[in-house]
Amino acid sequence: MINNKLLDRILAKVQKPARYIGGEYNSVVKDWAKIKSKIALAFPDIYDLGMSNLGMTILYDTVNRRDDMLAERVYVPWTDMETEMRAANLPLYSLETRHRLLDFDLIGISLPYEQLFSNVLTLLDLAGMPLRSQERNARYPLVMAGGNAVFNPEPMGDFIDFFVIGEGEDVILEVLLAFDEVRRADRDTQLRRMAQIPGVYVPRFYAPGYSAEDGALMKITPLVEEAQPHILKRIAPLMPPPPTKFILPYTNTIFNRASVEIQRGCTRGCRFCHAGMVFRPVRERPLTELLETIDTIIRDTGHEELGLLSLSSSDYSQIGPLLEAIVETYNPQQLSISLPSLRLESFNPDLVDKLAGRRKTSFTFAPEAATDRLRRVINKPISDKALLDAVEEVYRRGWRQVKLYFMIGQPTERDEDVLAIVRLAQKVLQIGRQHHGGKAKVRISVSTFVPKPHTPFQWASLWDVQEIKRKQALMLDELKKNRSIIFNRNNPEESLLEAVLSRGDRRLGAVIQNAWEKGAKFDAWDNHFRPQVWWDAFAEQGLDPAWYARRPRLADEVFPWDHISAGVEKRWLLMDWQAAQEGETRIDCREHCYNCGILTSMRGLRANTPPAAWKCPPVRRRKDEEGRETRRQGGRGEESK
Amino acid sequence: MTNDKGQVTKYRYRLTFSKGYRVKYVAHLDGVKVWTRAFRRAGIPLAYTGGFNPQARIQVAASLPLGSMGEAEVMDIYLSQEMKPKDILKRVGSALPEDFELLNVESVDLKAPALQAKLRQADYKVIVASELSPEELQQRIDALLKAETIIQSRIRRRKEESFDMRPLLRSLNLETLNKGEATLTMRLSAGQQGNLRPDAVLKALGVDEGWQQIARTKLIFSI
Repeated sequence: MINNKLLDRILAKVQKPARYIGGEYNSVVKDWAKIKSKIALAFPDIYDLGMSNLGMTILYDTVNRRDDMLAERVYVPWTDMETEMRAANLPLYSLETRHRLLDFDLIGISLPYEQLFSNVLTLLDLAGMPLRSQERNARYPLVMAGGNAVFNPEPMGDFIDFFVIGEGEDVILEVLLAFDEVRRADRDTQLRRMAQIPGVYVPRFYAPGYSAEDGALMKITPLVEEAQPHILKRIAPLMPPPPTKFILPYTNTIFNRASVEIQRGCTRGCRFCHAGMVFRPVRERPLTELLETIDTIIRDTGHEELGLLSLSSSDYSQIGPLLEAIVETYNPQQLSISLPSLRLESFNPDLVDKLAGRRKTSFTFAPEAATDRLRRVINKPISDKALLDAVEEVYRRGWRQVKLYFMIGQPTERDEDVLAIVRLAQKVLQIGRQHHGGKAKVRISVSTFVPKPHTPFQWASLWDVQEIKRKQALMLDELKKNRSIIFNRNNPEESLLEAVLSRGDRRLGAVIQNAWEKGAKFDAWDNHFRPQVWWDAFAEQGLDPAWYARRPRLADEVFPWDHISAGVEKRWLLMDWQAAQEGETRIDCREHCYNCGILTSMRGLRANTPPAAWKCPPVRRRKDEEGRETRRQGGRGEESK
Repeated sequence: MTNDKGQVTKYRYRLTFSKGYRVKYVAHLDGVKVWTRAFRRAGIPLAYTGGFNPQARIQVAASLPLGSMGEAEVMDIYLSQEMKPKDILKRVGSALPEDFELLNVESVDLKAPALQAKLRQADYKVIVASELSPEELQQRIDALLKAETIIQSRIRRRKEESFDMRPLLRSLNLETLNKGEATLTMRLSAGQQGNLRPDAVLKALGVDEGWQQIARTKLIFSI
């Protein structure tokens, strides 16, 4: 336990001290002395952000449901608190029982995005641990990491003892149980045991080999018997019971609401979308389970706001009945519902209207591209007409602001695609003006496309920073200071760093450490992100960010993440990348299976899961290479037998 | 009383509660949220304000400064249905996080004046680190109490201004001083007619630099 009186004095000096006290309603405090397996779940940003992360909530709930295990939370302190903690020599501690991180068996770090990498080093350092995995023996807790950003684990491979690829619900328990077997063993033995768990990747057991010619990665070789040549992601074949006892934060967090995942995965196949590729297959929660869950959440938390989460909520097959039941059961005083990620294709204005009640502030659509040609390239083929019709409905029903998400810098993009964004925004505004006159507003949020691992666009190059700036200026110029269209853009240097950190290899470890030593932290925060620190760190390590982010990639390119599998096969991603160049679209794969590989790689799980649980369409037969008739994929075909 | 949803808010209750050591760093508005959610979990039929963004009708007598504990804080809540005070006490009492405690519930006339308008004074118990001898600290206290005026500066609406705190300081006593920790009790003006915070008294005594623990022990209302 840390010194509570010392902490108390420090808290008097910092902003928002409630971030650091713990004890919130629904937090789980177990008897430390009586529990054998202990994990600290760490989110490498401040409490205000980390508390809104559903992944952390799910894992906390999963572990704490067991009597023989405990999970406690830890977040990175804001800079004022970090300074005070360092001055007072106070180590990073868990919020529940205020134990030092060093007192836990394992530290599980959530890495949903790459801008958190530098904060992981802050976290390890404040915990009083050596930064590099190789410098930590079995006296230190094992450090594991999971989340979307670890589908390419290599850049953080120097610091993390092992990664868990994919969904964590099952594997986190397997890890804790396995640790118990090797609790007293040396670090090498412990890690060899972990490497035997499916979905676990131990970077020190793999050696990357680089080309002498241009430094490109040639291959990654397993070094020990326990190290599998390919690591297939883990999934929960059936959506497990959702958490309902959300911890109620003591200070305002970014999304101060409870959430329930209505489905996992997305069948639309947008080619830029990492989540859409790595969360396959689509699994839905049954309607009755959702309604019961919402009821329990309200009883367990008293929350006034609830988010229905999914990558594409309006694609949930029971979305109509779900929203109707919610509108019927709860009045807006009792519960306001947020429904992010509505697809135009499945948007029902009547329902959304009812749901919103009187709170009609801003309505969001994400067309991502503004010309039909580019929409085909990215495989998000909505029409201007469909968008404008939806916008008409939204303004007519009382919303005054429409928010549109776009990306620039996508493959094959031309200036006309960029200018079309402004023209589309102007058309939207015209419709708004017919309903609200001068009070109508349009907000366009234009981010920069980053080619992500495990997507068809992993072969694409990031556009040059100057080129992105030019495109942004072009838009700004075209907008002609129209005050009713609000234009948000991101810093292209941030996209460059994101691209490099998500696409990099093991050599980035030295860069990350160097940048951190130079003061890089909170890179996801605009006011903290200092790009020059990073570029200096790259230069000192003799590495070029542009080489990682912008170099043209060949069809047979070896990627640093090739030994990690999200279930979708590389040959399929390549075919889809080629289809993108041709402007060929792939419709919703619930309608038609494109054989992405998920059913092949998850064959065993599929066979043991009720067919209706996955939204992959029924089996069709085809001839294989040898001419035998085979099943192309397992599926609902079994029902008819 | 009705709001624009036609919902009648017929019932008003006065709650006495405490805010303990661990949660003293929960800010005032966040604390109100803790209570609102506890009422909702307990199934208390809160009345809501009308308008664009309905809020539960809760009136807290006085906000506690961040870092201070409260032993007997007071708030009024409005309900749309009648409940027995002891049922409110029981149901809410078991729906609260650690270190928030509901001590008493009583029914109040709907037309009674607002708590904030009736608040006059507050009692505090303060423990401060002090290197002074008991005699020296007592002398400083006596000097403060004898003074006709005590001019201090404070920041209000981002401007520094000076004010006389003497009329707002009703009493000040040294209870104990041992092992470098002094326990003081004080009664200070509170509410709309004049408000003094205990840290201003510590500053006037010259003992505001080190560790301190402030608890408001009582709120005093006019009848």
